[in-house]
Amino acid sequence: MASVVYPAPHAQPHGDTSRGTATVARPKSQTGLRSWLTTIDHKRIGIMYGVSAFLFFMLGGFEALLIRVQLARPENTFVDAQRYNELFTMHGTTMVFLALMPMASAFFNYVVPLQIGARDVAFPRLNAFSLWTFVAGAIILNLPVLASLPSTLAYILGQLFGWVPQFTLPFGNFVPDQGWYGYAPLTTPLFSGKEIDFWAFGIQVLGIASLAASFNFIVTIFNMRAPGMTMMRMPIFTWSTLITSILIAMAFPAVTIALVLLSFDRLAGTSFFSPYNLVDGQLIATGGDPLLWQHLFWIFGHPEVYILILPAFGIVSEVIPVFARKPLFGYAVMVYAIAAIAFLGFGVWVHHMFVTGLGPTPDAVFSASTMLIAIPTGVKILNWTATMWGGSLRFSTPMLFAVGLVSQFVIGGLSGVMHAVVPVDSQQNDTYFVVAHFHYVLFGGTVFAIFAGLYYWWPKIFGKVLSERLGKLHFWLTFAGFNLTFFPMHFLGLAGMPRRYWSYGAESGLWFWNIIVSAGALLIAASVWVFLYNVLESHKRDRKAPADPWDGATLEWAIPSPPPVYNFREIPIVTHRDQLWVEKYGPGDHAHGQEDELDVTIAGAKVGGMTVPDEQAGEQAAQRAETLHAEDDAHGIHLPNPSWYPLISSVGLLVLVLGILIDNPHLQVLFLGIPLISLVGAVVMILGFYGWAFEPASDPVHSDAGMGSAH
Amino acid sequence: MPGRTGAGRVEGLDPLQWLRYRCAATGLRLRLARMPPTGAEPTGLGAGALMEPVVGGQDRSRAGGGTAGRLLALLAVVLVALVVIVVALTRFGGLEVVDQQFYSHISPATGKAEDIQFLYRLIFWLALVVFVGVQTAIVYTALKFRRRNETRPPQIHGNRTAEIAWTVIPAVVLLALFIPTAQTIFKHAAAEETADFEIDVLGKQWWWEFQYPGIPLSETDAAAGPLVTANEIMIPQGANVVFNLHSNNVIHSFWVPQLSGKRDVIPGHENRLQFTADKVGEYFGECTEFCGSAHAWMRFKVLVVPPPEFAAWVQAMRQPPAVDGNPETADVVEAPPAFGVCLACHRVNGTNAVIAQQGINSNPYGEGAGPNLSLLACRDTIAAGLLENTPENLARWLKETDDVKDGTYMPNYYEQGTINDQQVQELVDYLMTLKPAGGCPADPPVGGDPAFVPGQQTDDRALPQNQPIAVAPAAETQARAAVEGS
Repeated sequence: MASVVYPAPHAQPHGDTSRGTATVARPKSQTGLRSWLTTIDHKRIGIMYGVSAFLFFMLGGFEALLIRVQLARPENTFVDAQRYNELFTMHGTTMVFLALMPMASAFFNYVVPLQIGARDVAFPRLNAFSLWTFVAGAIILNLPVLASLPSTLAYILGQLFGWVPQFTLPFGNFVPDQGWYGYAPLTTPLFSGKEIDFWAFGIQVLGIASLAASFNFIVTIFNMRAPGMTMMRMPIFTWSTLITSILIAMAFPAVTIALVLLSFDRLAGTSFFSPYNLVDGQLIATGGDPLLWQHLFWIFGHPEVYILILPAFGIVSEVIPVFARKPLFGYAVMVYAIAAIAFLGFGVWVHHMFVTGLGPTPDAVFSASTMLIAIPTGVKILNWTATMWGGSLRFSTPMLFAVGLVSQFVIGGLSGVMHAVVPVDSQQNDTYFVVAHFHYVLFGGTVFAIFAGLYYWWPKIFGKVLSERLGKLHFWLTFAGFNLTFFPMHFLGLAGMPRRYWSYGAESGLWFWNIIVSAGALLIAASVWVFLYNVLESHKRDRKAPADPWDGATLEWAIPSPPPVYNFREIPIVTHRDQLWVEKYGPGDHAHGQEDELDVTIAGAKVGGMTVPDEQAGEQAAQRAETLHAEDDAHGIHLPNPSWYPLISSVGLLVLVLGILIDNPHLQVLFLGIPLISLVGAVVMILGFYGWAFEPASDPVHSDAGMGSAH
Repeated sequence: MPGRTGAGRVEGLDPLQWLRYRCAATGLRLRLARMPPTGAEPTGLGAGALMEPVVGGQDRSRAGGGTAGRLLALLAVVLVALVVIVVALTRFGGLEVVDQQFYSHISPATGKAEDIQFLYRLIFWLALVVFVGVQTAIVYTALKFRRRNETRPPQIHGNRTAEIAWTVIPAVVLLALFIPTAQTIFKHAAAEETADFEIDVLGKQWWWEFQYPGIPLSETDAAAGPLVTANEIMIPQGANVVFNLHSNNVIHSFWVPQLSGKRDVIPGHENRLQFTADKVGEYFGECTEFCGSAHAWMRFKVLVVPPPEFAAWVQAMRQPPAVDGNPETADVVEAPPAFGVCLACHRVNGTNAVIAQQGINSNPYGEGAGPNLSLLACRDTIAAGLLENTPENLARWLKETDDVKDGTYMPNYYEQGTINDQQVQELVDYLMTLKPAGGCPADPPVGGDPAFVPGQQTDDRALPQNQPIAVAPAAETQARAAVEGS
């Protein structure tokens, strides 16, 4: 299993660059806006993913706050029904596709190459293309929101001053309003407007970005691990990245197909998802089936939940051992649990459809498969607790968020099992009980882990120290606000409050918990501001972080903070799972325990109470290392060069899609039935791919100048 | 800011020095970025000192307890408080935090809903035990194993026995949960076949139409179709009723929490929902699948009444609106001319406004798009459960349609100038006459009759249970006699 391949790239970041066959000049700057636009450095791409994801996290949070203002009182009229429907649609879509997924991408990008001892990902330019395509998708999804701002402002003026402007803006009903899950027939032309096209194409483009990124990480993790890092020596976060990427690669095609069919329904007059169509004022049966959409969407949608939560599990599995100073309890079982959750995740989608009347046999089968997922999840929770047991626990902010996840995810897991009981689900489906459940999973799980990861890797990424005092304030505010917001939602659900109701009756008695939920939401908002203040303050105070502030166990803590552009001056040789601890404390403790016995059967042999690579693997690793060192000595460190082409291709794709979406006869000029703007976009995109294909990954080496001189 | 001293103490050191530790096992060196170009051997730097985290810089381990400890204690308190809240606010997993429970499935009024509530209580207590156990383990571990010194704890990598135990035990618990789950699923599915009273449900945007396929609107004219009503379903007590759920627009979901779980109303599909209406009462229902703008105001009521009252209601539904009671002697109320605009969508049985019934294939926007208004004056609410049914609210509904129910398809003819104040008043007066001879029947108790005991006949007028309910002429005669006698 010792597939130690390192494709030593032949170029230098500072080397003299020459133009290849490409038509766009190779960017040279290392700083400034241009360097960020053309970078293919996984660390910079990771930071850009993180920044944009956090901005969208705040936008999605703002939308949630508006929802909570509306629901704070019964029969409130803060927003009208249409705006409310837009808010919950954009809140869900934004949080899933534009906040949590790219935030996981940020960690994948920044951390995984460092953890596996690589200098970049396998396909650095594809990585940049993923980032810019994600940005394009985010723009498409949020254009309707931008376009609705004038009418929103007019509405706010009307609310404040009792004066409603008597004019209709061209973007009146323009924001997606069908829910993040887009159930047909609400999304068919009979019941919706142009805004659904923005939603469908936005998700489609985001899917391209996610698929490209997932292939990249699968290849990177399989091929670019440092010598000696067998699969079972991989840091667990890298494992979760690998399995999440496989999930993305397998789940997104389902929604891609669903969205293609939906777009045919919308733009070409087909009826895949609509059983009726209105022709000349008469309803005619068309043979389409709304349930087809639900199956396709949830075959994607349920693995999507695991795409959101498995990186979180990976982060927590990194943080807890470090702050307990104790290896992860049951590493192998933790890996198998991630894989089992991912595998089972493809067999449970019908639990989103228990009330659609599929019949008792499918209900029972999917009830059983859903319950099965609780087993590996429970194992993870208990293994984390066992990791802490007997450890030497320090509750720094990352640890607080990580333990917060372990504790809070239990609640989401238990209510998940409740929903697996089909008759109970038939009462709780589409009530606030479900809203509470998945927020305990996605906030108590993913968001807690994201903050754990941010506090944990912040010193590494920015080389600066965040304030622990503010960090702890942040955690406790988040913890209190989170529970205050989402725990009473269980009560609301039991009391019969359905989801996606823009208003509720005063006589229902629901007002009591609703006002508490809204207060909790304000607390969460306050906690995010504490985090932002912490970031600003750390920037101002500029306290330098050391390379290894937490006594880390993985390779990223072996290099300076922030890491140099080439990451590792010499590619490390890996002999143990918690490599850095072995380096620091000697291999003594790591010779014991069953986990090492597992290692013996996979990669090593037990010699003198220690696990070392078997003879052959050891030789290969040594040879490989020698080759690498020889290359380094001869030519310095080789990194692929920045490139304009990924950005050009993504911009082309954006223009192509916008050309389809523009709904203005003056702008949408057709050429042979194809929008002219789309043609331009397609040409730009193809030229981008063309230049990319013929541009060498890096320019020829001219001298030993550049990074290599830093020997 | 506490802890700066701690940071200062460490900042002087080159944190990478100790990385020059040669791995004894392989003889391979981990050489790292920016490492000084020396061949110096590891100096045996005190690992404990280096491992002192400098982020935040606090050295709390020597402060005895410290902030972390207090915060953990707070965590414990919060968790305990949560458990206390859960237990205090629940009764066997039920809930007593809202003023009225008839929106909730925790006060079941049918055998089917009881089954579901039993499962819910089972899993609630299981979950509470797991919750308390796991949280206790986490909090106890977090408090007990706080860092007190810088020695590294024993490096334990796992424990096969423990891991097998906490794989197998949950599996057994889940199996124990799955068995009653599957039993209930199949029991409820089988019960669908036993139903003897059919009601067709048509989900509209945003109201409900109910048709009784077994009860013709006219005893003489078969072409008149079945009896149709809207937003309030009348069911005779003891009927084993099945709802055939149809939609010709978008997906809705039919939910009466006290009587049954929900079932989606999907265009192109024929879903069914069954329960036996044991208990006389008025039950609250609503749409639970997002269906567009006014999704929140798509409510309805289920009225379970004794069979004679049901028969009387059927008879009254067939009659034209009559002045002061007796349809056989009194004049039929003439609809005001302004009612003509309403006829584009609405119907009133027994008048010239009873033309073709709206069926599932009708145009969602056009003819037949509005609720049947027969016996409107007896309904508790208007606009699909949104407003109390009073003359004032009816007038408001006609004048401020879109303000009352945001997104509704009902046009505001008043605002458009088609009808004026005078005509609105005529319409309200007319609509308030739409009630049976002898007045509206008394409402059954909200949320179900509390005195009802399943299996016992508390009402001697009720038919024996599980007997097919048909509106036979005999029952009608009986009902008419009952009405005339009152």
